[in-house]
Amino acid sequence: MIQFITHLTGKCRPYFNIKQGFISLSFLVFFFCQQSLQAGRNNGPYMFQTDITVSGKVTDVNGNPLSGASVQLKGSNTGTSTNSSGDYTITVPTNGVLLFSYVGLGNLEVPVSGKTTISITLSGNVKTGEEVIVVGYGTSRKRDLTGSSSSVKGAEIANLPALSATQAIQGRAAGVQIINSGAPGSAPNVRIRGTGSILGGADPLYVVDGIITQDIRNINIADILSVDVLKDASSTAIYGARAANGVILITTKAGNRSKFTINYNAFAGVRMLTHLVDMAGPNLYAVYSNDAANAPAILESDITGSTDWYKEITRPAIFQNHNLSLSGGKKKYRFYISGGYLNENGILLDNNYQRITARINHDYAVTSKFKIGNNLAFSHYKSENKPFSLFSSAYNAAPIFNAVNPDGSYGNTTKSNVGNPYATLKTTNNRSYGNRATGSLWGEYQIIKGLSFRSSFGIDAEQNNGWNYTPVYQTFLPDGTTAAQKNEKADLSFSKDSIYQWTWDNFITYDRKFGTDHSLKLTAGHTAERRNGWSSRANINDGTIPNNESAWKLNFKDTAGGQQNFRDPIGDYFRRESWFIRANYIFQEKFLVNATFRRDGSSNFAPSNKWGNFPAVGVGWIISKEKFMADQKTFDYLKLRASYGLSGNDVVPANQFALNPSEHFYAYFGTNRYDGATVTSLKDPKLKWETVKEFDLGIEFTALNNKLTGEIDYYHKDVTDALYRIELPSIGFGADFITNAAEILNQGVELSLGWANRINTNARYSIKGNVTFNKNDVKNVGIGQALISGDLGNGSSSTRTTVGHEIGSFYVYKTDGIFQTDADVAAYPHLTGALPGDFKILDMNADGVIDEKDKYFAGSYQPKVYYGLNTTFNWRQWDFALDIFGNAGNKVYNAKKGLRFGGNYNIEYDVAIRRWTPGSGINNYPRAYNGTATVSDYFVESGSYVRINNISAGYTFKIKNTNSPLRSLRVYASAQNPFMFTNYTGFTPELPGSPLASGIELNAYPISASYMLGVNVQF
Amino acid sequence: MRFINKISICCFLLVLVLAIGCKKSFLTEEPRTVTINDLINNPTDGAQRLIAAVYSKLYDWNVHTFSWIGISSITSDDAEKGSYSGDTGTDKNKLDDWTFDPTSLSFDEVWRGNFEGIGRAAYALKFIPTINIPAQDKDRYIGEAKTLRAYFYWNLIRIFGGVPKIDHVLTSQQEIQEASVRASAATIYAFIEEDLNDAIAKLPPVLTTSERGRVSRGAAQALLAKVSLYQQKWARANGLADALIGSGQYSLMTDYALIWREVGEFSSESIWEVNAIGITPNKGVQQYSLVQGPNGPGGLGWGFNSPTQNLYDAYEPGDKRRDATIMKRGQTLWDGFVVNPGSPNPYSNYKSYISKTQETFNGDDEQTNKNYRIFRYGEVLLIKAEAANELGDTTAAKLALNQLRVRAGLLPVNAISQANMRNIIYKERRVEMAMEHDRMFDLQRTGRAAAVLQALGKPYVSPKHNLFPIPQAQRDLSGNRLEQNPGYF
Repeated sequence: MIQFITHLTGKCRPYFNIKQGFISLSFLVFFFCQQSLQAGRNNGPYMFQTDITVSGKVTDVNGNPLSGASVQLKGSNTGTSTNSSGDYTITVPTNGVLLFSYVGLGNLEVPVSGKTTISITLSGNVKTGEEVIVVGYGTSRKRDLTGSSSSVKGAEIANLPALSATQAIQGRAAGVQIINSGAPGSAPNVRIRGTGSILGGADPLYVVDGIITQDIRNINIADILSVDVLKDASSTAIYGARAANGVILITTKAGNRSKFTINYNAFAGVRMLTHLVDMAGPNLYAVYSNDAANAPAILESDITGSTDWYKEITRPAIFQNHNLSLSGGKKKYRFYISGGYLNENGILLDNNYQRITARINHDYAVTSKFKIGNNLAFSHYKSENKPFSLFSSAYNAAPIFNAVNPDGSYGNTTKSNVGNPYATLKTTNNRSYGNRATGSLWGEYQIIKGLSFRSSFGIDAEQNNGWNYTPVYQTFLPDGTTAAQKNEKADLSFSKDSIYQWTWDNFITYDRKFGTDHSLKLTAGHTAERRNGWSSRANINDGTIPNNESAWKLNFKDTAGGQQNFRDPIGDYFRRESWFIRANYIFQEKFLVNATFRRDGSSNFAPSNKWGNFPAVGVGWIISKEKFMADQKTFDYLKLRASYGLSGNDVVPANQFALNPSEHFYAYFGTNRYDGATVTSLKDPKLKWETVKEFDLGIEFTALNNKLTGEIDYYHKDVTDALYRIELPSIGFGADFITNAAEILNQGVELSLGWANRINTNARYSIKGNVTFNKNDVKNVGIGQALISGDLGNGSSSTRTTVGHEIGSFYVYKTDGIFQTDADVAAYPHLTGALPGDFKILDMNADGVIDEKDKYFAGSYQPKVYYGLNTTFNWRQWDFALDIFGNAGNKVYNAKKGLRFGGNYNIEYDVAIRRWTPGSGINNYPRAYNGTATVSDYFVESGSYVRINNISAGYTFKIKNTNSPLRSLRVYASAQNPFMFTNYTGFTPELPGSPLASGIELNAYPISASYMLGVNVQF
Repeated sequence: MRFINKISICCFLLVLVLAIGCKKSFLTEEPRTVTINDLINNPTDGAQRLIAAVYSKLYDWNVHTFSWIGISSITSDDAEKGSYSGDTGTDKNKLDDWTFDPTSLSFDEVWRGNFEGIGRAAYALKFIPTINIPAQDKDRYIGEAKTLRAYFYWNLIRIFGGVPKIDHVLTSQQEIQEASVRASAATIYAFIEEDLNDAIAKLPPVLTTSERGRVSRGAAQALLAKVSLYQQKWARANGLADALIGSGQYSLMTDYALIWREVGEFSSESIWEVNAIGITPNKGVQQYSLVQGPNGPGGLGWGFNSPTQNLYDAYEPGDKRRDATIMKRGQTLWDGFVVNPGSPNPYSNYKSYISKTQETFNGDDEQTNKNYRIFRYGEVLLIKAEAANELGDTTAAKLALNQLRVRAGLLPVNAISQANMRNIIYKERRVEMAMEHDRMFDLQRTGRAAAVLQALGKPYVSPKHNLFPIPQAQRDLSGNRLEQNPGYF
């Protein structure tokens, strides 16, 4: 913390040495202060409205209590829900308006007007668009927005066994594609409206309680009130910098002023592998290998065991999650305190992830005009890591020896160089653990009525530690001698990353109605942020380190020269500074105009290109307000909106514009080691912002007496000056460099529809579906060279990104059956060395030669369509939910199938028995082969799938004794990913990856299903 | 009172906003790494660090290890792929079988590796002259950079023929694209000669103990002598060999086998070695011993580059060099280590063997103490013999050659005709230099490759195979401006 403050203040000179810009903002603030003083004098003291506690009951037209009805203070995030008796209590300003809503019964607005009891009946008469959306530096009613956004309520995802909110919202928001890996502790890839960036920064911007952050794995889902996804430029431009890939805003819970509540939510379950690939057994493996080598490579005497390596390294994995929260408040303050514990075993043996989270959200009204508060979260995690490459090792390992010999030693063979994956797993001692403190302290001052100033200082302090220890171990061959897989000298490496980030937002909000027709909301401000940190590493490999964690010290043996220490800056340190202003103007509650301008500076760019300007404008027309719509009965609410604007992306490593030397090119002169340093790469001195130009046209509606809600958007998102690594011919000055040269267009249509209705007084249901059609198209890749990527682990590349194709398209040979005879081979153009049993490769350009020019684009991992369906059904005390997610039209490269170069890897059962053999007439797979697999469409498979993401059933107990401290009790059972429908033959078609190399299955974590029981208790 | 409150709050906010602006250039991040100026303005070790970076390339995988071993040795009649039959070593089976094509990875690796060295040399040559150090130090660094550059070009020209000529630092994509065209072999040879002639003038003749691993005048002379052989510039080769012989600095080690042991490092026979150190912090020629160590039980290595029976049989009876060059499975080695009889290959390269018990070894198989020998005096005698013979001086040729034969325990030769002598020199060169990454290029240089390899059943096609293919990856990146060698697609 001390260090952090030094970061902030260390280099400050007196305040007189200031930038012109700051003077202007301070004048602005001063000006408003003056105004407020004037106002104070003229109008007398302005009284802040006082809060009162309101309670009551919500029932349906038949007088049945509605449990779970939402009760919200209109225009704010303050809200609660009714308990199983339909009762609620909420503290709101005396002049506030309460908004009641219930699935299928629409909503109802009731002014509080000083009443302490408000009981209402929801009949289906509704106002829509009152839903409050977090929009960045403020909130807005959905109906007032001109941009496109999706919102997921915390309650929808709270009971899902996911680490982060993004994992949980898969399939719940149109236009948002979530690609999960099954690995404990991993973050998913998130793509909003297609993949628009080539460098690592294709993930959206995360903003938690107003604070920009990079990683939300530290946020406990149970603490989340809502997840709002901003998609178009009109919404995101307020976050101009880095908003190019969309913005995900997470709001955590606040206390309720009226009652003290204790919530305990817990679940526990088991995760099991659902989809494995059958591998050949020992004999089949031997036959295949011998055929491949065309020699007796594996003899009967070499088979000393029969091992299913997947069984050896995997297990059913148990997980549990507990959350306890306390919340409450009085007139002047609210608080929410929570603690959570997650313990998740991996499918991979001994793989475990644990996380503890704690949160304190608090706000306090110091005076009637001055509020302060904080949102602070702490998390600690500990992860026992096992290399995911073990999944491919298990796929490749020879099945002919024991994982563990009868004498307890590790087995091995000389016949394959994959070795013993079980021994690797057991001897890997790799732990990462760390702490993260995030949050903000804020103050808000109401200067005059409608004008307030807010300053918020956010911090994100992160420390990640890790070690990797390899003990001395050996594996043994059948004859008792030591095999190559062993470690003769114990080695240990430590790493410690300390990262500090702060963000300081200062902005004013002016919200005023002028007469009955005009309403104006202005937000203007300044923000600055800085991220900095250091990464320290130490390696000791002198072989004397004991297998005992308590004996590991950093000064261990430091005099013996067996230790190497490094301290390096983190790669993504930066400073950013921004000015922003947003104006929302509404005329007659019908016409909406929203204009945003943001000017962003980033240290990641060359001095001449540090600043970028990101304007956006949106317009909306609430057609249902028009007179000509008054007579129709279909639409309750209908809005047409359009927006256009720019947003930016600066996610490149620091100082990529400066030609700096690299170090640690060691050479020895005599016995002295010299640390060579020289320039080894090329840099673009004019590096600048990646700019997204996005157009959006949307319709929002509710119809049929509010039972049907819908939103349709068309978007056209053009990423220009996209940053990427241009590959260069290697003539001594680097193999690639980062520059602004690509252009990628994503266009598509998003559709969300929701239907909610009651069957009778006891039963109601809802169906929400969303579907996104996206077309990804690379418009430019600089000087016209395709970007080659998609490493297959065997020296080949599988993807090309080039004009006219999707990003990361598979570029492969087209196979056309299998050569049957030598005469066949001779009669066709073929690759050098082709033999009968190899694929016939189509001579695409018919020049009689098979070469690179004969490859074709065989699709990409970019889905043409992805969709989600979320349904609920409630009957008396029972509730049921079913969630489905799927995507279609994309391709996956089954790379592990082609990894059989080198030494006698195992082979899939199906391939082994149905491969081509001379004269057999079986043509499903090519001949047994040991060489590097030719990159062909044989490995390209459909990536389409439909998956049941979640099935759950819950029962809420009736609490009859009104004096019981227990307010509500629900138990539930659920299953995640129990079924997947796909034609893909590998482990999983859900494969997170970098934009240029997505959808390649090499070391994939196989897909698993979870089955769990949970409880929600409220006191 | 309320008025005062407001004033104070406003002032507080004002200060808050101003505080961020306290630093004039908030958006400037100081680079966290060393900068070019840090090197240029550092007379203590700026130049040393720039030149060490060039030397460092000699230790790299893509200069002296797997791909290089494949192209320079596995292709030839001296060695075969080795390891298990199914273990292709990415494309080493294709190199062995002569079924490789421009997409074979080995070519791209050595292309990149050697050009990286050339780029680093260009940076050293650009910045070292601007550093404030004594003129003679400066000259020496320049001489070293030029020798190293010539060496990298020498590797490239033998494999690919003419390649892009890079004689200065390139700093933009456009410059790099424009420079990505092949210069003629003659142009590159001239460039190598120019560099080496300048280096010979600038480098010191003798190295002190603490300078081991750096290049001396002798190294540059030896390289130029060998380059001259490839150009058939016999007089120059002869003259340079004479200079080296006459310098009195070099002599043959008595025991041929000791040349590749730790005790033979920087011996009287040594002219240029990559100085690998096996003590932590160790720095070795990346996995050089590991790749070639016998495979199988006992696990010394990957078993690649296995000497052929053909090589084994090429030695005359009684030639001590055979058993110093080739180790057999089941053999007890000089340090007592027994090569497991179950190794998949009958023979392994003894010259790449590092003893884990009798030589410096810190447990790291990948970076061992094994020095890569680039030039030794034995080869200078071979150059002398060949150049003298081509110039008609068979007597001088015999004199040089017989020193090697005698050391090997063989009788001196008494060839009479120049042609007869030439064949004897070729044969002697093969056995003296076996497994030292010379054979394949030597066969191609002397026009014998087709006959020798075809006799072994390899589909060697002349003239196509007299050069290896330009890597397809580089051709693609150049927009096909890099022309392919004849016969390759």
